[in-house]
Amino acid sequence: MRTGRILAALLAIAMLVVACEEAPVAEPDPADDTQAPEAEGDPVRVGVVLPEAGVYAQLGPDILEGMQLYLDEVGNQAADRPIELAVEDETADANTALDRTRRLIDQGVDLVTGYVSTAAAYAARDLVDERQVPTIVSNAGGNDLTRDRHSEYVFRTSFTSAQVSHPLGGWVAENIGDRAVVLAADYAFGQESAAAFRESFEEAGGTVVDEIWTPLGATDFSGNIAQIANADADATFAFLAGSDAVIFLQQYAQAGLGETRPLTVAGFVVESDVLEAAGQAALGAISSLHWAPTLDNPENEAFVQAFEDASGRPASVYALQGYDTGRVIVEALEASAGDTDPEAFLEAIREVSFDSPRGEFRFDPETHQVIQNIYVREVQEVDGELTNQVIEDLGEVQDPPS
Amino acid sequence: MRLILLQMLNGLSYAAVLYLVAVGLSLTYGVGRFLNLAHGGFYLLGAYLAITVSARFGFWAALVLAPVIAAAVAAVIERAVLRKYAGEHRAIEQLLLTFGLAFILHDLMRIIWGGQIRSLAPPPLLAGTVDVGVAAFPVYRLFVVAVGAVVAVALHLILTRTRAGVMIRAAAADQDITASLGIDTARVLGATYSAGVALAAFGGVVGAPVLATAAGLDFRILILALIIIVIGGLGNVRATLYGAVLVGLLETFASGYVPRFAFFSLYLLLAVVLITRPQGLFVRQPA
Repeated sequence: MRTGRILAALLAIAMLVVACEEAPVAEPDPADDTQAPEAEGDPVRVGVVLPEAGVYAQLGPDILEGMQLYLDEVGNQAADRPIELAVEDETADANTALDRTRRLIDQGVDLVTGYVSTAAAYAARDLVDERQVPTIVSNAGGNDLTRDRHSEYVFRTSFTSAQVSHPLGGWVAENIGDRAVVLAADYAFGQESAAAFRESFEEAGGTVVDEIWTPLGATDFSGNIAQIANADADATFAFLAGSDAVIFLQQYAQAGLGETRPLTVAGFVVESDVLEAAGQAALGAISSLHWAPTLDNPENEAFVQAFEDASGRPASVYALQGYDTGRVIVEALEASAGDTDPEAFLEAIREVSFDSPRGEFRFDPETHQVIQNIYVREVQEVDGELTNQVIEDLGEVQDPPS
Repeated sequence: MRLILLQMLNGLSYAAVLYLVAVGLSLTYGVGRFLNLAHGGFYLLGAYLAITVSARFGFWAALVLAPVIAAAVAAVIERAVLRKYAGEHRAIEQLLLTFGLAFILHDLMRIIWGGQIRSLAPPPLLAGTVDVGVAAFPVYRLFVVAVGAVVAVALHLILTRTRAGVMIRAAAADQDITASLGIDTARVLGATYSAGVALAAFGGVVGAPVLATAAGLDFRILILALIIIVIGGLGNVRATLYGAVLVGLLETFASGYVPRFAFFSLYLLLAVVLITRPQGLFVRQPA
């Protein structure tokens, strides 16, 4: 059975390929995106670590362009010091992200920002803490980064999995029904999101009748969906990412479940990248998130328009996180009069607060996690286009939420 | 009981998509002992073409056009490159070659269709659900089962009742003797390769409304197809049908009842088959 053995070896290789699918391919671009500065002083060097391609293809560019958009608006300077970005590819590998962070710090950047993946953020956390470099995480949502593993040097402008999904549990129990099925991808972010939903859902008197864990990268969810349909429940809560989310939304809609069993999800499951792909299948999905493109305030209106004009893509929550991160950096520099010495600068970041497109923005001085409003949104068709309409403002949410 | 029937239907429709892909792979392997690792790439090409073509001309046009385009691409590749490496003694070269081809396809599709996820809605005629006695079931999934069954029967008839089928089976049995009878075996192999690729692309069109279309799916599908032909029995078209049904049902039931072990159960089955019955479950004699 020579061929059999070759085939077995091949299968092993093919599996490896899939495992490495998301591995880095592109070499980092060490160039910095310096704009012609008008400010006189010494430049402030900002190290940026964001993925350029891979599973999170859309996230990295959205965050970076969002940040660039804000910096452009203020002329790429703060406190009379020009702001220079040094961008490195985060890749999908936490170790590579760590190496690149180290390289940026060795090059003498004044602060570091970025990190889409929680694994990368955790890896960088110990390094920046030890080297005493102020760091602003602009996506990675693992709870512990601003809890048990919190550092004096690390701030987060994005979210935690609990901050987004916890408020939804109580809302579903009150507004939809008190029996729910929970389905989540079997990895850290899925587990944290499901646990957060469950906690507040049960506190509000709800019962989780079934909990379904699906492996990352599943191709068919029909088996799970039949199980959901069979359960005696009023609502479904799901957390899935990327193409898994698209397949699930599509099959959930095809099974005709959306009409009888409202689908509730963490907001990321129906963000613009997924929404565009899933199309009509996403209609009616209810989600919670710290932003919506339809949020009614002048800052948001201006931001959504400006981002679309600048990038040609619809604004996303990731673009917003980049935009606000840019603003945090600028406002903190202004407040410290351009002083990037950690002591003064950290104090200045802690104090930053402003009216963001997402609502009021300020940091929790203890955890360094942003305190922000969480919104319940529903996918609706407006002027022939699918978008997330805000149906309720759940108010300010701290982490850990209570 | 109701749930079990529903899961059977789900499993069969998933199996039908997998069958369309795996049978093309099996056919090419059975005839030329040629393992096409770019096969998953052609599935994805079919799915992308389905999205592009149906935006213009509708789903039914895509169902015809996508396999034709993919087969044409395959014919060119076969003529230009692969034919030089035919023959069982060149197995390693073929593997490396088609493996490289898989990556080239992967990157080309990323350049053409981008990195974002795409999907396709079922055609209006097949949208919605129908009551199948036990529960509401998506019409499109029933259609997928029917397509799989029709293709299985058609392939069986072509292979057993037509002249082309006889030539294919003769070439599969013994290339030298077939060639000595005045049949151009290189052409037969080339045609089978294109036909196998056309089936993969056809599977891509049929699968597009059920699965998402995104970079990475090409390799996921390739692995599933490889598992199926190994479990069923290498190069045997009928064994591939049984293998696909087994894998489709197993993954569906596992994801329904022990979701965490859905993938694991497939690999476990694969390992058990390789250890105890390496020729495959559904072939009589060791290959």
